[in-house]
Amino acid sequence: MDITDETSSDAALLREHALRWVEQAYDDLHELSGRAHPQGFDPDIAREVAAQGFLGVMVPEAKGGTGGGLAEMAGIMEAVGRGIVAEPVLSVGGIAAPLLARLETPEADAFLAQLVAGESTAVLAHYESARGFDRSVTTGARQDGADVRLSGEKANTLDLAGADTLLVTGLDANGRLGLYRIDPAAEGVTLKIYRTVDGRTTASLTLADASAERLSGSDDIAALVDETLDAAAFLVCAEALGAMRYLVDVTADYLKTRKQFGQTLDRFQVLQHRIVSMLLATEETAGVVEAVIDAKQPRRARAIALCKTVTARSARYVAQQSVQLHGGIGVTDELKISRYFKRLMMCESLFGDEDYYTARYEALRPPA
Amino acid sequence: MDYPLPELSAFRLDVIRFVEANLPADIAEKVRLNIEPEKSDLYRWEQILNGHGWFCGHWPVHAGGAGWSPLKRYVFEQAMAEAGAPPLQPFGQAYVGPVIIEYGTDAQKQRFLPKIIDSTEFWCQGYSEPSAGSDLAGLKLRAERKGDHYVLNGQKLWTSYAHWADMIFLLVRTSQEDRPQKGVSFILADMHTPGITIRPIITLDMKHHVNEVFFDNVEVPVENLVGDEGDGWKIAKFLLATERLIVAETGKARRLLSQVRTVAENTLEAGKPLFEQSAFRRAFTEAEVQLQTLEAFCARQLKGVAQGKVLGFEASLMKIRGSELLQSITELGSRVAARKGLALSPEPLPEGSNGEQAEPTEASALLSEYLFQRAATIYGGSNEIQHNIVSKARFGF
Repeated sequence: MDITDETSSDAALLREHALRWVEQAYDDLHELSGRAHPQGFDPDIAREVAAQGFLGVMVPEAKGGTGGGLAEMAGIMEAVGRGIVAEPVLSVGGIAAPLLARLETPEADAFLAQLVAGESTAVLAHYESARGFDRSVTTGARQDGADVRLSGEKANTLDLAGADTLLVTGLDANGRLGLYRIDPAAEGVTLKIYRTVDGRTTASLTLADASAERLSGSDDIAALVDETLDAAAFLVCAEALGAMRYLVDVTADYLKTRKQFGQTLDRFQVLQHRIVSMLLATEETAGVVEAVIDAKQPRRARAIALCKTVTARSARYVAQQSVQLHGGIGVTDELKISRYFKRLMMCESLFGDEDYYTARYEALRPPA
Repeated sequence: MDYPLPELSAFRLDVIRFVEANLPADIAEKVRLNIEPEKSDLYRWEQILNGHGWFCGHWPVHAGGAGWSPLKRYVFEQAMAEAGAPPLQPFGQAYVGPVIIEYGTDAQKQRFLPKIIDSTEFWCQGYSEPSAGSDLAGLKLRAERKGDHYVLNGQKLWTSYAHWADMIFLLVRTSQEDRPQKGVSFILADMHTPGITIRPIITLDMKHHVNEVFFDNVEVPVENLVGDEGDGWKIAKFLLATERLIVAETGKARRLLSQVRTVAENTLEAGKPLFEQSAFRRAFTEAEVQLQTLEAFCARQLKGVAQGKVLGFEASLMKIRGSELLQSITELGSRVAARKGLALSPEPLPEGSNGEQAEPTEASALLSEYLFQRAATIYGGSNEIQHNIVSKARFGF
């Protein structure tokens, strides 16, 4: 175990700031923003999110960010989870911006500033429909004189409905993975946008010789993409933690007030024990989230695999039991907890579910 | 599957064949994709069944039914669900129909039963209230006698398909007594009576199944009272007893499990069908083991019923396992849907969206069913309450 270093106090301040912002500015009306907008989020609030600096947390100061890492971003994601914030904090601040920052090319850096400022919204299109949670790709990049053209099928691209730019991974003629910028409105790009269970959006896209700009250098970026997806999976765990803590709080309050059979529900031992099990699952999640922040390379990937395995299981349990303990009212769309239930379903499976990360945890076992 | 009595196994196959041959293709497709059938779809299917003498088969012959035994009815219901027929709405044929046959006056029988059998009047059930959920005896809706009428004031909650209903049967409070179960009466009201307001409730699956129904000085003729004042609790228990065998939906579970298999075979993970992945296959096998265990448990209870045994707490045990099974099968379905990004088809994209509406798929159908089945361990007495019932009935705790 590593002792937490001084950067974590910055992380704690940022977490407090984000939690306050969510509580004060992101009220019940905003919570509906996912479903009310075709983008799956509210563009005005997305600009406010950028103004809060949430999108540049993982970008170095020299590139316009605040130079934090996973610890800082995890605190923000916990607040995002607690307030069920629909705006693309994860897809831009946790994925697209840090990925671009690490490409170290003039093309990527030039675009990064717009992204961090919230002037542009770019999302990563990596997963492919025939691959499920598997991270390998078959999309190909073909050099066409001075141009590059991409062909392939991408799936599960989050927040694409509200994005103006696609960041697409593809293999060049030498089998090296690169990152390409594509205009979603360009010729040869066909989008299919789906409303996800939580009222936000995902999309699949077909690329048929679509015109692209290469953002990565000549090196293969497979390892970088792998780290990016690990980080995304981890940040989803931090988000789930915030949502789970909220559910434990409101469910405990409900048990204290709802009366059946002449007494409040908190008098029933089976329910007392159930909410303790929910708390236990939540605090275990807090433990595995912190363990990722504490883990040094090369152990971090395996710590994330463990973290997502445990979080997926806990998120499912806490979400299901908070509905169960609310009874009939818990299955209505009107009650806020039903939306947390659905968001936690997303958290459970985004970037890989329990099965995927259990297998990955095993595959990353260090040699004896 | 084999039932304890050979004639039941043969009947099961008859029902499955009948559904395959007679269920209209558009309705079958809605069931497969978990799209809510219209009221007219249900009426259409009920009338097809009625033409074959099967719609109210469990009613006595003198009331227009076929006089099926509880066992035969159980086999019928499970086989229908297994074959992919839409679930019959129970409120008329299964709930209020048998109550009227048992407790109703001749005038009530003549007025209400024919319109249930020929599917021209739709019923709903007014039981639960805001403060009377699992604790039904806590109901408050008042019915005050004023001349030839009862005047109803109060609210019902979770009223399924009130928005389709022509009639409602209600438990109401006609007097305040020492025990909350006393002073409850069973009454029938026309849903078009002035003073009734319906407010829709959208559930987790984003569908409109249930409602709040408000009663504001609603006048109901006294001849609509079933039995005497204060008979409500007795009648409710009678109704519950007729339902005892159908608490475990093994037929539906069978159909859903087979659908999970189909979608998992057609969903690729790293280029290979998900169904071939060891972790998924193991979970699927586990669900199948649970299903066959429940079928075996139910079959054993059926043998007892065939020998004249009346089910008591065993029905609660069947309800506990039946609801858990539907949840674990649909949870497995949601794991397949997760590979498709948890796209939920009934949720439309708002105006101005640049995307196409996701068409319903079998994966989104299972996802929607997963959301709906979260209620299975809550309605009809939560599973926590079922555990209490069994511990009291079996052990005297």
